[in-house]
Amino acid sequence: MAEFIKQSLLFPVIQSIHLIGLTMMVGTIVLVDLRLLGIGVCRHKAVDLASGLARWTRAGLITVLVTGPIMLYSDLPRYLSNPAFLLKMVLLVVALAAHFTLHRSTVRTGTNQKLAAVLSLILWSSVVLAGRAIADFDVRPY
Amino acid sequence: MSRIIAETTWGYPIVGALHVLAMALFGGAVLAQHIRVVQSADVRWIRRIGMTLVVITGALVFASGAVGYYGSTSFRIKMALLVLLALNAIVASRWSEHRLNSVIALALWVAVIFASRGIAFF
Repeated sequence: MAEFIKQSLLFPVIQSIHLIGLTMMVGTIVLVDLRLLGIGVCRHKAVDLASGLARWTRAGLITVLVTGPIMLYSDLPRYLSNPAFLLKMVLLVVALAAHFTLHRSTVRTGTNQKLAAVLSLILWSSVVLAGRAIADFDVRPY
Repeated sequence: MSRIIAETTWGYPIVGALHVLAMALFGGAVLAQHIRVVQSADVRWIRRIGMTLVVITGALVFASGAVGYYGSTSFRIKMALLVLLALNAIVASRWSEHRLNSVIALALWVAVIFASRGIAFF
């Protein structure tokens, strides 16, 4: 099963769905972060913008958390020996933790806006960078 | 510039990652306006900056010779989809913007992502 996914067209299809999911999740989070920094959508308050987009942020999160493990499963030895992938997993945990704690409370209460926004932008950008780097840091031929 | 990308360890992944980040920025703005959470005018500059970065980083990747796009059928499909998107936008702005325009736009953008991924294959 893993071999089939890895070798067939299913992998790029799943990868594309992963990209769509991350666009939905990171794209909506970035809009809220920019709003916290006073850029972009000034019509709504950050809390209203965030709740309006929440369904799509969640859908994006679910999408990446489903497609990601499928891709991981298709070639465990490759990913587990890939430093970019391992770094990405660490960054992902940190980004999610920060999102559901600091970011959420900032959006709701309006405190630490600049800090939470900048932290969120840096963390999610790092996750994306690490994800893109996976293809360039393979340790062994696969 | 394309030599920096092609010949250093970091050039290609960084430009590629910026391409994906710009896509997320642009995509987030486009999504937000099509689901009517924000208005097109609110995110105008985010859209423009995002699209500019996507096109520049995309052009850099192709110029570095990493992927041959001139002969790619998928690339042509992608261009056709972008034309359809432009037509959809024109229809929406000249007559009234119907919900169907938003559904079509989002579906076309999803297709663009698949077509972009396909360039490496056909």
